[in-house]
Amino acid sequence: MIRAALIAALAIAAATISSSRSSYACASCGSGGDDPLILYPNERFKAYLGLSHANVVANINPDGSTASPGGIENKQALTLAGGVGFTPRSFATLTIPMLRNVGSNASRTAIGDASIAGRYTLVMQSIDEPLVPQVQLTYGYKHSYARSLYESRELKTQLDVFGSGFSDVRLGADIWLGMPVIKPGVALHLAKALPAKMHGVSYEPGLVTRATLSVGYMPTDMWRLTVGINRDQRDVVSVDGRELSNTEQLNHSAFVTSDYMFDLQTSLRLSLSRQAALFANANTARIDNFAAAYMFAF
Amino acid sequence: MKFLSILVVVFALVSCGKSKDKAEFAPYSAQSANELFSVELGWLVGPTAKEYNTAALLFKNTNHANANTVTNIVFDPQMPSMNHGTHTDDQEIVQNPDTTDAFTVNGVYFIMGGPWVVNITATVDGVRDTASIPVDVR
Repeated sequence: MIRAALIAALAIAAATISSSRSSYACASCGSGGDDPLILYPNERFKAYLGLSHANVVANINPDGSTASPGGIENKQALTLAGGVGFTPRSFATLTIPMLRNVGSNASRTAIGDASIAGRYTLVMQSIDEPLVPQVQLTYGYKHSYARSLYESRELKTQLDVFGSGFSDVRLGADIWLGMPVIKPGVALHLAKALPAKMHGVSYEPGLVTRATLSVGYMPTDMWRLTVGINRDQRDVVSVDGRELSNTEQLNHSAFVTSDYMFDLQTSLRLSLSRQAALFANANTARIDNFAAAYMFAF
Repeated sequence: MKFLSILVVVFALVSCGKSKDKAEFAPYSAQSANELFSVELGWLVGPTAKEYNTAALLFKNTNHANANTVTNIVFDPQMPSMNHGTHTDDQEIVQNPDTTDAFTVNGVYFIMGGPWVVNITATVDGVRDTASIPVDVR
């Protein structure tokens, strides 16, 4: 039922494209991914300052049922990112989050896992050919630095847990039709965590596949709204080379994002998202997140 | 207008996520890995996440008779699906008065809800082994 409704919504979006009143020239906006900062083709340097607040609502069991959430129920982040555009087709970003775990009686602050990411535009958009999508190759690396659950010294409260414990490499593609009034996008990203040894035990999480469907709309030339869903699937975890059954993760999240451009250099992004929001989910958590970000290009 | 309709549909989908009820926990008995003893696990308090729970243990030896001596008990909850354990520093295992086979485990703490497995290792009538018992924590 839910799936049918969603397909219907996307069909409405697709139908709307063909009746677009006008075409908006829009740059490399992308349809989703882990990198928070996207540079437009004409931008050479861009800075990002983001604030977010997440509330962990529930744990999702392997069978999809819910249970009490684990860990910190309120997490806040101050995210700093900077991007460099090498050519109109390529850019790279560095992202460093500063995280705050808030418990019932105490809180802890630490630097989270830093990541580098980049995009290369294989196919550029053109006003002359509004139905030719922008196609971007995406890549990235996240370096495990922050303390993970495996290394926690405060396992009872988990206030000192700020990372997953695993570095990972990412590769993907982002296809986005930015010229019509309604702007659909689809993205596929793969992330592979690198094995890590903790307390003499070797852990290797399975391959993560993230698929994103999104629909964007610009009420004005300076304001864009985007709604979308992500499907994250992670294969089983291996411990000392042995695959553990029932450790697959599945998470369907939904998001709504508003980007407002004050001028050609500065913009404000507000975003609401919920993980494990719809469809089937397993071995994950339902998390509500609100984020605000200020971006400045120079 | 069409876009607003899409927004409404998506928000409706998000708000329709309905939680399934959690399964009720029932007392459980298990053989140790090498069938050297069996142990029954019951809960006097809980099991509930992020609270202190109290467990009851009853050991039988390899002849299915009440154990005469049980020593060096380790009560180790693990969450296989999430691949981690829990906080165990506050655990206290005490032998019940006037018994040789019954114990109470105080201060059992689960850091989150979901499917757990408690690995109970003990020396029962001279032989040491481990039994694993599933626990559904609320």
